Amino acid sequence: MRWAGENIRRLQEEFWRQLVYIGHANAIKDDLSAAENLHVACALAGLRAGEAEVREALIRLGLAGRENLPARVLSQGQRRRAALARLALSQSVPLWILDEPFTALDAEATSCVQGLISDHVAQGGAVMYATHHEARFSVRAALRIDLEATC
Amino acid sequence: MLRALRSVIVRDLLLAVRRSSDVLTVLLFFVIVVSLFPLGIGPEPALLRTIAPGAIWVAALLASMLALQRVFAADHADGTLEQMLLGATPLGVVVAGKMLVHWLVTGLPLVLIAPVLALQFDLPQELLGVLTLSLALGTPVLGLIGAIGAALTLGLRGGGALLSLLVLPLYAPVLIMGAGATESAAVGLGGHAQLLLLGAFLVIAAAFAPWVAALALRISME
Repeated sequence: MRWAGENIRRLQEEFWRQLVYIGHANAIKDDLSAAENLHVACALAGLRAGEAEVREALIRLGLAGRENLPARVLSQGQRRRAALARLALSQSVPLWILDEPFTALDAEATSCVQGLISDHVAQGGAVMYATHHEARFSVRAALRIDLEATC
Repeated sequence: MLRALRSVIVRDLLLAVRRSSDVLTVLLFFVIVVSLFPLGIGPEPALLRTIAPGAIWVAALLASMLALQRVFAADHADGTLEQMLLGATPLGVVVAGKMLVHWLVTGLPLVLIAPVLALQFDLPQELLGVLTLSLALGTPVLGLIGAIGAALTLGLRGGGALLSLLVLPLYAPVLIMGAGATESAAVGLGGHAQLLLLGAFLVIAAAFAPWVAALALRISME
């Protein structure tokens, strides 16, 4: 697989620096708060994010007032939102790869994530995601692969 | 890169503090195993003094095995390991940070309590220093070698038993030098040679083991 003409196996960190991957697992630690989890995720990804930005990202995803609760007491949907809050801080990262981003999210959070994806694409970023949900975007170019139709 | 390293260290320390039972289990295991030897062998001071370094070192080895199984398991289960593999920081640096904290929370307590446990074996006071120093140099090596095995057996069924089979033979040189330091100090030869060799093991393991463990993690996550 190639990124900007170079094999990604050779690029390694060069490529990963330009990638946000949020998989099926949330990568949320039960014993850390949502804010601490987001700080760690950003540090690992090499993103600079201050206290205020982290708080803002969590509020944007609807976790206002729950930033400092341990993730253990959050519901499945809230944990998913804490994981996806990283997207709000990753607008400068060109490629997003998301696995079922809308799982366990309510309508409000789904539209928030759709908003983040639309913004990212509008700024010239690329998003690749797999989903079972019918999502509506107003984007310039989208390639849609229906796995059930091709099976 | 240093920011990510610091963040991993702070995160793992926080997790250890908030989940202190994991740390205490290893320490209590060590205390109990060491205490079983005098109970099983009987109160014969000369014999106990002879076996003390070996018994304490074997117990430290087993305690370190017990701790190893959790080094990467939690991060693997909740998906954090995937993020580390796809992070902007070289994986070896992240693993080095994790190993440092791993030693601080599971190795250092053993080193500190070992002199107290050695009193059960009637070990002469002048040997306590050598014993502690040998453990201080040796336990990080155990953790670093073990991390490679833990990374290779990650996510395997029955990984714990396989990990022991893989790693325990590699621990033999550390055990021989570690226990040997106190033994040769006891017969008046001084333990310098063994301690220096342990130090050399530590330097080599600290330089290479994190990178090898990182490579092993990539192999087992493919």
